[in-house]
Amino acid sequence: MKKQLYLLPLFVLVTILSAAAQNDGITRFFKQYEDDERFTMVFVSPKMFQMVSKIETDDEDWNKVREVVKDLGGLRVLTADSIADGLEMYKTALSRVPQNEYAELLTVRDGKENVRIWVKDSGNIIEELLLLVGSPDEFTMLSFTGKIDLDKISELSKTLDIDGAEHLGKLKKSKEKE
Amino acid sequence: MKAIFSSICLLFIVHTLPAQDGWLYWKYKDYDGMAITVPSWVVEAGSWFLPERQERKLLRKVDKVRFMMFENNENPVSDRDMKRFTRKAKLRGLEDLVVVRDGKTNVRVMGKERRKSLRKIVVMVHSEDEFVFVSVKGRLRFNDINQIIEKYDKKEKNKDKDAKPLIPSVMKIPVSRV
Repeated sequence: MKKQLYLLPLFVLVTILSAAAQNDGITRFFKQYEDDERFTMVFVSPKMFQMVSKIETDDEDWNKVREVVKDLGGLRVLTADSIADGLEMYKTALSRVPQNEYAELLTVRDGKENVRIWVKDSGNIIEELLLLVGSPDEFTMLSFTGKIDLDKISELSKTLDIDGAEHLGKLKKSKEKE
Repeated sequence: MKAIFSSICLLFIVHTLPAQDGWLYWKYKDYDGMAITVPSWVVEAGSWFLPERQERKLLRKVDKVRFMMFENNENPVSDRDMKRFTRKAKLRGLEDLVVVRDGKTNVRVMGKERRKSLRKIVVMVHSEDEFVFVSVKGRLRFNDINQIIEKYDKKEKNKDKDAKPLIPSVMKIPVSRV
């Protein structure tokens, strides 16, 4: 019995570590380039989303955003609009996405521009949305965490003034096609 | 002996923590640039001149404002001190709300929330040649902020209604592709 008790914390530790390792590739990618001056880095904390969702107004547009934002955990963006190795970056980022953890939701190739969206879900709840955009001179990696509603998140594409965020609108279009 | 030592350490930590927050301001306030501390009584006096009751109410909840700015390639604040400040601010309960890095410019917004009110907001803009630090301490309730936003929202909407279009809608401008 005592031995089992000793094993319990070890089990918890291993579970936590393995969960962290799954997400590690993407986090490490963000960390690797967050100080690189070629890129623009944006981080919006869960606290900010929490605070913003407390602001109530009569404005309909704002209320739509509030609905989306109240369940979001955080936003991380890494973007560059004039780099020489956009496609290489895209391929590197692609290799870091743990395919067994994330389900591919959308793939678009338009000319030399590639767009991919993945989601990570547990049960019916989407916990993370990952957007990757790559073209010869552009690169964007965007990650939303929290409880994500795909219909609602596409609304944010109009609100977010970030390069690459407009691709979130494709989520709604692809759903409508289905 | 151990107990005495730990109590002394605890007392030291409790005593020094409040001073850590404004540490960056106190270190650099005498450098060439602009550094202002606005105490609560000045904020209160300033509120008398505001015509709207809601604005007066909100301003009276501000206890202290600190502002520091360096420009024209005279930024003495080192990256090391910035990191140190962020670390210490987090120990004091301030949380990152938004972090943006674009090229060599870093923008960081930190905030502290307690009992449904914003107790402190710190905004820092840091680049090689410029530095801006704004710290607002107070008890800003979300309801008060909501009311102000709603008021301005209504004003903006009324403005849009009253605004006359530059070109009357009946006038058609012939456009042809050359």
